[in-house]
Order: sequence, then structure tokens, then C-alpha cells
Amino acid sequence: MSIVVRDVNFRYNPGTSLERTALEDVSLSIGRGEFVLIGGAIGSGKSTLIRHFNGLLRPCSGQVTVDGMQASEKKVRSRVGMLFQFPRQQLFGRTVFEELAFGPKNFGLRGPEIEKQVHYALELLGLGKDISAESPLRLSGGQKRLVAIAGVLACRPEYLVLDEPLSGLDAENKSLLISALRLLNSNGITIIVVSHRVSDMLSLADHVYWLDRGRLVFSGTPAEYAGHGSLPLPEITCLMKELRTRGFDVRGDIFDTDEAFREISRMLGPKRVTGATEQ
Amino acid sequence: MIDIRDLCHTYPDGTPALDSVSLQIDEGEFVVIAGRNGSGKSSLIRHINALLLPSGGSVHVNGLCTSQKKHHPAIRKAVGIVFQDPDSQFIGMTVEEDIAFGPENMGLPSARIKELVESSMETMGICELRSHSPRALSGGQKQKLAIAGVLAMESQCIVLDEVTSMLDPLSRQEVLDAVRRIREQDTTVICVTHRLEEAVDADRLIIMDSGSVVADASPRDVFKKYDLERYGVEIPPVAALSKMLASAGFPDIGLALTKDELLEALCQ
Repeated sequence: MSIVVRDVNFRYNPGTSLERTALEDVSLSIGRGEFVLIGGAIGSGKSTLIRHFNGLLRPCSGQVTVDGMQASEKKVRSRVGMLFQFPRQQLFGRTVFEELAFGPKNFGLRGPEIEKQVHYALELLGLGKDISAESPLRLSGGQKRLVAIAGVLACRPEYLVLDEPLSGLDAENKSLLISALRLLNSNGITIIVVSHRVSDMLSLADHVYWLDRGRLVFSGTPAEYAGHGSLPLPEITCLMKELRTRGFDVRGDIFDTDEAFREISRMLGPKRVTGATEQ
Repeated sequence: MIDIRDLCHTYPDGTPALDSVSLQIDEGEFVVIAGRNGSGKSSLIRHINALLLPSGGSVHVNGLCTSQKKHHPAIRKAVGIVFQDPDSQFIGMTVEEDIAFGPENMGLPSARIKELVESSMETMGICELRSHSPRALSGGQKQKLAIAGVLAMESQCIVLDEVTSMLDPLSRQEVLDAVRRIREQDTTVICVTHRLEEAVDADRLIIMDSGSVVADASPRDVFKKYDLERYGVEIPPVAALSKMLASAGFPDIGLALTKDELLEALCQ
């Protein structure tokens, strides 16, 4: 059970003067239950790539399958849920409930079934039932994004694809969203995050891909990503790597502050820590 | 240059946005304003060029009060704002035309307009894009064009509202480098951002919460003295790490604002 992309090429406006190659010979495979990051600069083909996962775009050559089906088959749409960068454009219900009911309704569900789906989505994200009656437009930026995600989840997708989910969010809303994604992933939903800034989520990821001008230039674990050398790294990772090159015995594949703190405390020695805390 | 006293702002639906804000910003200062979504940052900067008018208190720019409509042209010439999504601000068919729009509107002679367009393209490093269409530019290039448009009006003060939030790291760095060049020309820069890494070399860091200013000091002092998480602001990871180390019993590691500062402290 996986999304398999094989030798995909994609050009916008083929055969016209505006023809532009967006993807070149891209192959990858995303297994069920994985947490995957797809990084790359703006314009590197990330958004074009994910639009192939549920048939919004079809490759000029090559093939994309989802759980063995062609991605262009209608059945795939409900399996691969997609959240675009600007959730405000995806919100149109008067209440959160209406908003979340929209997708299941469109897939032909009725009354109690719809309600069941909506509650399933709210529960998965750790959102209370109270929020159902609110107007989506009155929510904070992070909550809006969570509601947009819930709207996608109400269709019970196996794969959730998010395009730049953290952009424009402040620290609180960012951590709200990151913990929601972690919760979803632990419930077995495959998470695919596209971002030009992978640093916030490297510690959650199982696998990282990097696109450069339409080509897949890196595929590996976060630790392999950290060791690659020419891909953008979080400042904390740069710090740890530099400590290593200066001869300190620390790991270089550390992406967040808490882990760096533990590693440096260990390096500096427990004695000093205890000694100083006792003062 | 900017004098804000007891500024209050209430939106027409009754939502309070600013609650008795007072601050002064001098010519040539580089000020960063941060705070969670909805803390009042955007409302505050919209008062600086009279896009919003006070419900209470006052805002003066170069001694001119924003409540008086006759001052608006002079105030808007002095203070230019660049927003997060510059697309809605483009008018010209080419980069050059777009930059020329502001000075043309001010009725300047064409030789002077040409000079201004040229010098602002140079400061922003976009000379080679002069005949491109604004729509065809990348995100970072668009932001640089939007800033060049404000520069060409010879604004004394440039306000940047989350201009880097949609950019990838490379474009972001290019925009930040260009902003540094503007500061070298003694232009006042006010920058609204979620990302405090961008505040490390500011003269002042202002933190807003629920419509009030809760901190206003040098970035080092603000990082040191305030629990910024409370205000929904993310302190740069390196500064957070050095703070954690210091409070866990490594007191000789002072507050490090950059990776190099922390490396040096650790290597001693």
C-alpha cells in the first residue's frame, strides 16, 4: 500500500511558446503510515509533484499509482486528501460543522453518517465538539488551518498531503499544527508535507525528499539529510555539526533545541550540571 | 520621526485592536515588531502612514498629525509600507515602469524619475530584471520590486509587513541583504515579523500582545528578560538553546544570539 511515482515528467503548456518543464524523471515511493517531507526552493516542482498524487495533474510521461490504482481514477480522490497553502480559500461553510460536512456530503453520505465523519475528524485532531458551531472565519490562523485539515479528514483519506502548512503561522499556532500532525500520524495516517523550509519538521519525518528545478536530488532519512552537506539545514544542526568538526563528541544529526540541549549537557558533563544546580 | 501617544484603535465591529500604545521611533533606527497573530502589529503599522486613524490618542509623523487629512499626502510620502503579498501592489507592465509609478505620481521631472528608478533598482539588486513583467518574477524578486517601488518615492521610513514569510530561505536571505543596504543609507526601517532571527541585529525589538506593547528594548535585553513564549513569539533556536544551558547550570554560557557566539562560548 503506497504512492508510487515512476519516471514522471511534467511540462506546463506543452507545445506552446509558454512550455515549461516542471518535473523531470521523478521516481519515489511513499509507504502507508510514513511521515514524509518534500523540500525544495519555490518553483522547484514540489506543488506540481503533489498534484499528481490525486490526479489533479497527469504526467506527460511516466506513471503515478496510489495503492495500486492509477492516480487519475476517481476513487483515489477520497484516499489522498490535499490541503493547499491558503486555507482561507478552502473555507466556505457558515459554521465549522457545515464546513466539515461539505466533503462527506459530496461523496454521497447522508445525515447521521455525515455527523459520524465530522466527529471522527474533530477527534483525530484533538478538537472539541464545541468548535462545530463556530464560524470558521472567526478562528485564529492556526485553528483555521486545523479546521481545513479536519475538512479533508472528514472524507477519511489514507494519505494527507499538506502544501506549506506552517507558512504565516506564529509560534503557538505552529506547535498546535505540528502536534496535530504528529497525532494524526500516530493514528496511522500517512503525512506528506511540502515545504521550502523543512527545518521545523525534520525531527518528525521518516523520510525526506529534495527537489531542485524539477529533479529529485535527494532521498533519504533525516540523518542522511543532515549529512548531505549542500542542503539547507536548521541552524541548530549547523551548530552541532560545527561542534563535531571542532572535535567535540556530539551527534551531528540533531534538529531541535531540546535534543541539542540534552546532547550538549551530556558533552559538558553531568558533574557541572549537578554542581551548579545545587548552588 | 514617529511619535505615537496613547494610541487606541477599535474596529467598526467593536473589536479593540490597540490599547494605549505609546512609542517614539527616531530617524535611521531599525526596529523590529513581533507578536502573535492578532496582537495588533499590523494595526499599529497601518497607523504610521494613516491607512488607519486613531480612535483615541495620536500619531505624528515628522510632526504632522495623521488625524488631519490634509497631512496624508506628506505622511504617505514619508512612510512607505510593503505587505506580505506584493502582487496586489503592482501596477506597471515592466519592473522599471512599476517603480516609476510612485515618483511619476508625485509629479517629478522625468530625468529625476529615471535617476530614482535606477538607484532603487541598484539598491535592491534587480537591475537585470528591468524589462521583466512583475507577474513573471519569483516571490523574492517580487518583494524586492515592491521595496524598490517604495524606495523610489524617497520614503524616509520603510515599513515591511511580514515580507519574508512566504519566501524560501535563499530568497529570504536576498531580501534581508537588500534591507541591510537600505539601512546603510540611513533610512528608518520598521519590520514586522514572526521570526526573531531577523531581529538579532535590530536597534530595538518591540513585542506586542493583546494590542499593547509589552517589551521595547535591545534584542539582547528582550531575549534575556522576557519569557517570549508567553507572547506567542518564537525566540531564535540558538538563543533558546543558550538560555536553556545557562539556566541548567552552565552560567558561563551567556545569552548567545547567533550560532557563532554560542560556538565561541562552548569552545572556551
